[in-house]
Amino acid sequence: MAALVRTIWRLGPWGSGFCLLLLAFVYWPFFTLIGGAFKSTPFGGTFTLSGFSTVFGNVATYRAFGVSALYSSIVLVISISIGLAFAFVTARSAARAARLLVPAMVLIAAIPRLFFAVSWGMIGAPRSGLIANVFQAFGRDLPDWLTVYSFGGLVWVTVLKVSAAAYLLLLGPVLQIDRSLEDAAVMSGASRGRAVIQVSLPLLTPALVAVAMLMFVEGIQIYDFPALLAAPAGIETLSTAVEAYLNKETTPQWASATALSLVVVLMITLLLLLQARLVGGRSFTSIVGKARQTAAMEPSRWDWAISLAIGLFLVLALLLPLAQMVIGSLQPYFGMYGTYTLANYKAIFADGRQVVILMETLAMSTVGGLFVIAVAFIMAYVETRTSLRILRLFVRIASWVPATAPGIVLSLAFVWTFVSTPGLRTLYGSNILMAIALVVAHLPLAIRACEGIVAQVSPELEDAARMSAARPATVILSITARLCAPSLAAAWVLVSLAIAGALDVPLLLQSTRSQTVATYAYSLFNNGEVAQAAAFFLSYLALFLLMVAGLYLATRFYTSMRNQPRVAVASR
Amino acid sequence: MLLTSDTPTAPSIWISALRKFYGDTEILKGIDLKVPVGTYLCLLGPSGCGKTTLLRCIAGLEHPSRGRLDLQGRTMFHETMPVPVPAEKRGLGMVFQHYALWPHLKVFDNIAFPMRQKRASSGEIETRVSDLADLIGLRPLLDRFPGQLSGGQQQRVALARALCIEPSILLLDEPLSNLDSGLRNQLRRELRNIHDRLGMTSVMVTHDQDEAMALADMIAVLHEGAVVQYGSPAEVLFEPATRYVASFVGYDNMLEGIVTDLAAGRTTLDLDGTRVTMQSSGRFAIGERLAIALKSRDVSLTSAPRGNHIATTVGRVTRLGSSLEIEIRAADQPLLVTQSADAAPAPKAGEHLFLQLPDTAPLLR
Ligand SMILES: Nc1ncnc2c1ncn2[C@@H]1O[C@H](COP(=O)(O)OP(=O)(O)OP(=O)(O)O)[C@@H](O)[C@H]1O
Ligand SMILES: [Mg+2]
Repeated sequence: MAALVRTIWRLGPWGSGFCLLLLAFVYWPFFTLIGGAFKSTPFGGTFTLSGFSTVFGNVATYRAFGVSALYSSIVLVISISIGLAFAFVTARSAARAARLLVPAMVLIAAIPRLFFAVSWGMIGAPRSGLIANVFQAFGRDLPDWLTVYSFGGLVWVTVLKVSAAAYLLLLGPVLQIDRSLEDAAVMSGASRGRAVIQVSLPLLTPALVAVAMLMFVEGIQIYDFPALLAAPAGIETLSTAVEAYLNKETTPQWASATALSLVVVLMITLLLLLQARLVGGRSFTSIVGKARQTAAMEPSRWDWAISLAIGLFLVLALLLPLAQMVIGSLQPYFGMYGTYTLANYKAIFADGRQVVILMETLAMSTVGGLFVIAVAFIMAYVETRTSLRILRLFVRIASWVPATAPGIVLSLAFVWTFVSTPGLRTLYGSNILMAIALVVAHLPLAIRACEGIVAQVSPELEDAARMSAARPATVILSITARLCAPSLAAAWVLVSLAIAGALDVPLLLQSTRSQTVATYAYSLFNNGEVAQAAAFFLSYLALFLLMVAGLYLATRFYTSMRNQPRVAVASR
Repeated sequence: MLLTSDTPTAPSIWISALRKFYGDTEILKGIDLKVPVGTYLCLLGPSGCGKTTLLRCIAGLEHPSRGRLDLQGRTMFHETMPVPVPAEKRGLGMVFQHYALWPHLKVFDNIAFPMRQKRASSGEIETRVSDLADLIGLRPLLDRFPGQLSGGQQQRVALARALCIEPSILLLDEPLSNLDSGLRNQLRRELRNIHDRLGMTSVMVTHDQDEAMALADMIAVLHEGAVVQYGSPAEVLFEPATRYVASFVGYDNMLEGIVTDLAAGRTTLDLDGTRVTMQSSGRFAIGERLAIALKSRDVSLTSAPRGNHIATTVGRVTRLGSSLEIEIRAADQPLLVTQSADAAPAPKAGEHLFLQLPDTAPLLR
């Protein structure tokens, strides 16, 4: 008790307030989720164990476990292979197309999953899709096994999207491999290829294990791809199974959904702990676009094949989905090729409700993104710089807790929290609570990014500011945050996009008062208004990019004004 | 008499029984230092002995685990204080080993930063920075970013920044170690000039004894987290307190002997049968084992016995450029003598000669 008082004293009002915030919005929802698993409904329910008995007594649960595990494993094996191969291409190949990889992969990773799901849902649709139309041009129907609405289609689309993430996570470690180790193997008589396999791959094992574990967890959590592509074919994963208990039954099965959620959270917690053990405290940060200048790369006679592979991948993972989205949005009805119209766009901007959703999502994602980055930055800063061990532990756990919950589970946890906390109940169903849930959901990723960013600022620069009589707040704002600003801005753009594209988090929190672009586009898509869904999504992306470009130009202008030479001093 | 903190004679820095732990390891083991106002103090010691830790404790960037620290008569840390005075409230200047210039600020803004923290008017800032720029020779660089400066220029900027608020105490952590030797000598002189001109107390960390000798008024030699000697450069150099200090300041030979006679200011030792009498103010006891600390350059070999001497046999002779390194045995102990190669005819291996001992050589327990 005395220790607690002393800690609070040392934290001061701001530090204690921040910890309280984490306690309320990061820790507390998970406690209510645990409590909720033993209650019948969030709306004043009674104690029950029926949730667990339903979940464990249901064959579908075990099938969903199996599907999720299989899906995650297949996706991770394929996408890590692709990502690793392309990472080596970036590090080693002189092929012209290799230079495209970093920006293209960043773009693919940045585009929301839902966009991909909708787009490939259109490309691979049984009758009206692009592929089906190619078959029809040859007078054939799309064979059933080729439809994207299947387990194979699910894996295919996920791999296209997730390979980019695997690439970006593995690029740093691959670039850090000391070339001379391989050269030594070549001088000992190994071929270049054997040198890579026998020397460099073993060096990469820790990184590969870490990425694989993260991707496995991510695979279990993914909601949008299974919801759009597998659920219509009757295939359930763990994430969609949670949602099914709430939305597909005649009355929402709160206890079962929460019990299953708790099981999933426990499973992921174990996986993450295992991962932490395996990686052994070594920090693992991705390096994006920071290719080190090494010796000039030799052209090889396989460069054409490498370029071809890159081209093929980029067409499938980037150009085709983009093109399908644009074309689809211009069709009067999805699948009606030949006539193009702006009617879908006009309809959006004529409908007040849709404009409101666009604007609200823009506000929620950008302001929410700002919060995510600010909180993540502070947490990463505290984690790396504090000497208070208990505070470090508190922040560290808070930085991992939301990562244990799939978005749909987080959504459920927040429903429990908001409904069962007296003060917050009035806000239930409003944009503010939706925004809070979105912020918490995106914290873990942002913290991992911020850890890498903060680590690049030498503590000596902060010490120098303190020795210049700067208060702690000034040190953080005018030195650390200022030096990190470019990276933080990039992270903010990515996080804002992710927030707008998140489908699972707002799913249970949305109401007629609060919807996001993702949930609205999803409902359009589900109602068969596919062309409108595409137009809606593209309108949002255009608005967002416009805003980012505007901000970018404004900052450029501002800094160029500030960096005018100080003529007065220099000339004296 | 008890010296209270507010007496006018209060030392600039007063450290007592200061201890610092990292986890279970004790890094600083009870440091006591009193540094008078206006002193140039060097903290000298080998790598890892805790110099930086001590400096950072004075700065307030780290806090000691035990003990007390007063600066300019104000208590900054005391083990009973709930919260020590934080670094930003101590009003010190500090120059960091790797400069620690903020890359996003121009030289002018780097230097002006401390004044801006004190909400100085822009007029004051302009005058002060341009005065400093003249003092330190930075005038043409004010409009550049730190990335566009050489190492020496960066170190000057770091110095200007530390001096900006006219601190009463300036802390420097190996400020010269990243510079080439020519620049180092030049900056070393400038550091001392600025110190004399501004009249502050300076504390500089270094592991280079020549630098410490050239700059300091006082030297504190640290070894494994403790101050093993605190004195003027001459004291440290000519009267090292321990064998460790002696070897650190260049005494590379130790000749062991036993005290046989003590007279006023003289100590007679028996070196395996040979008696030598040294000037010494140390208080020793008869029968005590002592070492005569010798620098290989300060002893010479002669063919005839003269003054304090001892018979030796020449071992291997190695030519190192313009000097000779001669391994000898005296009083059954190995020693090293260095002499100019072209001064006298080189001794041969196996030759019997006499080693002359300077009678002011320090005696160590
Ligand atoms: N944060 C820390 N945690 C644990 N041990 C530390 C920490 N900082 C320093 N040490 C240890 O404290 C000892 C003293 O370190 P310090 O940096 O003060 O040495 P130094 O005398 O400045 O050495 P150098 O000349 O190499 O800079 C070293 O053994 C170091 O390993
Ligand atoms: Mg040091």
